[in-house]
Amino acid sequence: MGSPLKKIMLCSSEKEIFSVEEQVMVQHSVIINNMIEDGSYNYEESKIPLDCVDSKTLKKVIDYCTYHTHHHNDNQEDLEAWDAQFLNVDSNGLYDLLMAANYLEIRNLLDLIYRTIKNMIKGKKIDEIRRILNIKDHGFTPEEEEQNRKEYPHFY
Amino acid sequence: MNPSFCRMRKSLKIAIDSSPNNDKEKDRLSNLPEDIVCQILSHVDTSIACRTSALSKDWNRRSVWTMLPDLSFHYWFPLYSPDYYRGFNEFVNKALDSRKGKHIRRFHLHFSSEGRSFRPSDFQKWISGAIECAAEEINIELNRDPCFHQIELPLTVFSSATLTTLKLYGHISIFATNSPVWLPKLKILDLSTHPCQGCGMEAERLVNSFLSNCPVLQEFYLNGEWNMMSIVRAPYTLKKLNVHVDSFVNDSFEIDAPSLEFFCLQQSSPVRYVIMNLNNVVAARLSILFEFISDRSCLFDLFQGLSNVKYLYLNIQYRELHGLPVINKNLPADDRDDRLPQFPNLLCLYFDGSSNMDLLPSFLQKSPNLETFIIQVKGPQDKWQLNSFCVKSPQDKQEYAEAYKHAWGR
Repeated sequence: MGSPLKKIMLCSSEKEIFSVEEQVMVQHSVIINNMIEDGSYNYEESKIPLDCVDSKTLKKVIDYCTYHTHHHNDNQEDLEAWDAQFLNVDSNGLYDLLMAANYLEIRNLLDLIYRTIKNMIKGKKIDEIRRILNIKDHGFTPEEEEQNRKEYPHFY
Repeated sequence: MNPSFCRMRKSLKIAIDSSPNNDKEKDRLSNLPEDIVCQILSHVDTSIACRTSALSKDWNRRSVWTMLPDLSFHYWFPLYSPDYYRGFNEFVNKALDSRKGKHIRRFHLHFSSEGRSFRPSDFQKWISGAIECAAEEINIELNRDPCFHQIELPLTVFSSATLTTLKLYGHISIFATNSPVWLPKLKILDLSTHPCQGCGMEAERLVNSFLSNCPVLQEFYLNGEWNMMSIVRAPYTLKKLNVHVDSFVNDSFEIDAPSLEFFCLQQSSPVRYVIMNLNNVVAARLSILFEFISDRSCLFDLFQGLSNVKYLYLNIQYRELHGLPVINKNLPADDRDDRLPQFPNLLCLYFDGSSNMDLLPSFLQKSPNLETFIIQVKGPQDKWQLNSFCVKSPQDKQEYAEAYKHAWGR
């Protein structure tokens, strides 16, 4: 664990630099924790390049880690309400967050996203899921689609 | 290059490969890396995971759902419906077929329905299928009309070389088997089934046969009125034990569990305890109901056996003959203060709201290192709330003991 006042630099795909309390990222991201621990991060010079995370997503990820670092003693209900509000984004936003959380290995954020996606598709019909996940071209020929509908009527 | 940068490069590559800019036209779902997809789908029911293969052709081709090592099926359909049941049966069989030659990590089956549409032979086929796929965890809950017979498990369950967790709830019978139990990897066993009436001795034999033939068993849960249980001999590996027994018939309850750390006992009208070895128990939770106050002296043998605990939860109740609860005031003044052992390690003591609290003052006196005691009380609108007291200093303890005596007029 680093000292709480140290800052580290994260660099988004737009080359925007974000300065974050080290402890915030170390607590949540397995990758960053490993980098700090094995000394591959140089406080004077290093910026951690996150080429596949855009600024908007990175800002959200940092918000998540910061909030959960400072509010981990809050009661469960408040945290869940905050999480629900936090993940109130469109499906593209959710994909971006998912990829970022996966990349940085932020386990509790990943779990949260998995659960959210689960709730999005649970008990839904195929057409609804397609709409929710923004699948415009499903690629089945009309005959195949017909066949599917026949075979699994309760999916539709 | 140092390892975390290597790992970063690797995951960076995956991320870039599937980043939206590369291939704007393709849907992003189909571009998700496999491990993420598996993770997401392992959170949902197998039927929902399977349903996603109808979402798009790309996705269908990957048929990710058949790669999932966890199968979970829920059948909840209260009405008699042969069609719905047939569909379910076919689906379970299909899913099991798709795992042939691969292994199953978890197999969950939750079945709630009236009994008619359900065929025991199908059920046995599903479970056998899971065992054939070397399942590591089996979790079955079966609820149906109690007028139907209990369902028997296939015998292969009791000799699986791969099972690490076996959890059974509801209308499942495990008594059919006289075949030997041998589960060399089983760590967690939960028998929350209802043993049928009249199989008393059988139940005890069976439970102890589980205990002696699961060489690495760590956790054992026995719930659901196992009336005739009177002897529990646990293996050296057992750390957690949760027993719910009614001993209307037996007059003694004997337990030997040398490595046990967590002990939970729920019992009605015990008469005698024989505690062989519970010296390593750290936390205990006792919910005991006495039909006759005079029987409760056996409680001190139990406390004697558990005197090393650090955390103790108590719910001790007495009833008179006509079933009325005995309130604190009318207790016979017996020799309880002397018979309660010292609890040198006790840190936290918790009294349930419905528990009789006559032992509280004695506990405060006999627990030199007690830091907290917690009492559940009825608050406004009859809601239960917890009152927690810090009793670090000896004066605190004295004060609480006095206040208690005063309040109850003894």
